[in-house]
Amino acid sequence: MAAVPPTTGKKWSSDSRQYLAIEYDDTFLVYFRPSGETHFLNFLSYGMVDAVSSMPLSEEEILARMRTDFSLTAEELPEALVATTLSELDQAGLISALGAGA
Amino acid sequence: MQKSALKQIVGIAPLPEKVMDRIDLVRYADANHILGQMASVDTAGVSDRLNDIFRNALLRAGHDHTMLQFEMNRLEHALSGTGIEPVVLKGGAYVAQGKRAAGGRRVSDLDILVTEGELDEVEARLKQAGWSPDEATDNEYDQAYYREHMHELPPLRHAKRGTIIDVHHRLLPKTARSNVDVALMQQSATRVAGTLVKTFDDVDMFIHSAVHAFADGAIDTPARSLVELYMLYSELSFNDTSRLQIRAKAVGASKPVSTALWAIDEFFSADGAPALLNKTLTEKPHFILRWAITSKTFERRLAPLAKALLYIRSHYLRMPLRLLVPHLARKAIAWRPSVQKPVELPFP
Amino acid sequence: MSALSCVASYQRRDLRAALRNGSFTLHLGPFSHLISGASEPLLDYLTDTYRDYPVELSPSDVTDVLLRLEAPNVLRRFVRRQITPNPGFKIPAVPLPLSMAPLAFEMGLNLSVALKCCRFINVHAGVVADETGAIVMSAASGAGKSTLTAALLQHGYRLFSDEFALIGLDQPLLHPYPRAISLKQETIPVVRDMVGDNWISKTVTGTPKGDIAYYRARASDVAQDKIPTKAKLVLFPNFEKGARPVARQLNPAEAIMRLVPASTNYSLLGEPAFHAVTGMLKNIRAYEITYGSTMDSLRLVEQITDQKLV
Repeated sequence: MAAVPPTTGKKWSSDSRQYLAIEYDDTFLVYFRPSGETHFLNFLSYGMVDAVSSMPLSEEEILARMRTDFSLTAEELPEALVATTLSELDQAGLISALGAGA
Repeated sequence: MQKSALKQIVGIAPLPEKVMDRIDLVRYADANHILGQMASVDTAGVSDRLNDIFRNALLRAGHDHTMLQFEMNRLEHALSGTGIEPVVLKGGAYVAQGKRAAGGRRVSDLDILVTEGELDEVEARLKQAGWSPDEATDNEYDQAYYREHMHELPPLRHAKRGTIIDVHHRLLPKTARSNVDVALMQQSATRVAGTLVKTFDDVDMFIHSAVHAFADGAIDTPARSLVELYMLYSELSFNDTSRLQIRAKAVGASKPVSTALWAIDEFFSADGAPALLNKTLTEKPHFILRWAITSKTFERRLAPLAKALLYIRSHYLRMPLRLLVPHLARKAIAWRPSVQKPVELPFP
Repeated sequence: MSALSCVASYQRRDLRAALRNGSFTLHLGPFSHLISGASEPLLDYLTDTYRDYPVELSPSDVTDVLLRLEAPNVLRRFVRRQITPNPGFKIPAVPLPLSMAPLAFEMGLNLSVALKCCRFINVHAGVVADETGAIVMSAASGAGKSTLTAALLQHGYRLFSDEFALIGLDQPLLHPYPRAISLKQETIPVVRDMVGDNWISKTVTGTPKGDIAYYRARASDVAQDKIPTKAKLVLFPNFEKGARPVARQLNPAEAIMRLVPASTNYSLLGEPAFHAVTGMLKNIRAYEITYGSTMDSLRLVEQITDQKLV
């Protein structure tokens, strides 16, 4: 897979009109309209998609948000995990970097 | 198959009365991948069962169109920041521009056109974004063959989504006997609203479809190509049709465009309608070509012969003899059936 | 449609002529199937296993499925005769000896429905139902799905299908498609002991999948082929020799993510399929069950449904 480009300053966003989500005990089935695919997301991945739907956020802001929202420590939720998840969500199209290919 | 079949499929002649004839028509449309096109026009007053079958076809096409739109979105994503604005060709263009020719059409691959100078960067960016050479052509001979002689990169398949993108830098192979002035066509390409991709304008879209059907390839899907040409033609304005042949001449596509106009006239015009061919500008295609197109389209008894004839013709048009002979020889020796992605079937 | 007669009510020579003309039309569940290709092994099979199925000898309308059973080439029409199903699109089918015509017929119909019919979500699963709803059983082959299906039929359930769960797109109901149940290898004697010899077709031996026989659907199940029902339980059966019976409840999301790859057209159908499958799983439970005998599997289903089966 491609190397994750540096994300400093980049803002992520999602469009809640483009997906349907159903929650089942901390997991989410998410249907993404543009790709027609159904994704199986854990609470963290979905939390990230959901967080950037109301307001674009940078990677640092998302990290802080997730740690607060889910009461996770820096050890439980390291930066690298957020970066990888963001990159996967980006590849699936669920989130996109503002200004890029919008 | 009756010659009226294509008219019935595009909804300008009534469907056959007899059930068995109707079944044959549906079978013909399905086998030639134009059932969806038929479903998108022939909906009034058909039986529930036929409606069910049409609905199947439209659901399939709907899926293809979603997939294609998403692939275009991913393409933009991959090329973001490069300033490259690819021209989407064929099915992708019809879907992106909401053309009538898109209605019910099945699309499997995304075809795009970039300039030769942009080719390397496009390839690199696509590979970075998860596309890689399709296994069917991922061998030295095919890779070299595509790069040296063809008008496109070897097909790239996306590792996760399995979709294919064909990157062209011209509309016919480098080695083709006649070539089309692609730069001229690129100049008048228009942006698809809200995106970074472009398509040809309506006239050039028709010209490219004619080139694709008659100057390239072995007329592999004649019925489908003819329906496509008819639908594109039916959406041209008076202004468009009057400049069509002049434009065709300017871009070097007079022959295929004449053949296309002859075919539309031959297969779709109502009896007694004025001919489309402007006799002063164009010539009718050679009678053997006319015969071959007709018998291949309608699956007549001599279709295998017509097929063979068109196959040799297509290679002749594509490459000089010096290349053709070794190529055919190689094909004959190392003939591999096109790699079929086996569907995982759980059934016995 | 009410005027349709069943296979058994026709003369063999009329059935043969209709198959030869390509006008033999089988109606079942939501689909109609036009079949062509007369052969004695196929006629033997149809007049036995399909005796109770409604057919027309000439179609009254276009059909969902067009299946030709034909020789792979001219030679094989005459010498060491072979047969191959042609559903109208390219399939990786191996030509079979003519004696395996029943297999070619069943395989051709399965491929046609799986790949052509997309008005329903097709999930590869066995489905049986009683008045309280349907049990959907999705499993890899060899997991004992057919045996469990056959067993449940002996305990008050009617057959929907042993191959296809057909889920409606507008309403998440299951639609019956009660074709014969395909039995492989060692399941043949197991099911024969369970249901009696006259319900099982002649065994087709030496097929690419080993020995195959078909368990005929009951006339009552065929007669109820237009009555859909809602799902009440989703099971992922798993036969393991000598295993202790275990049932593990699944998160519905996990159940759906296991049903999706077993579907031939879920991804094709997009949003309506998402609604239908999540709708089907609403308020019902899903289990993975592991067992080492038919009796154990029935006991597990009994515990899960709180029904007396054994």
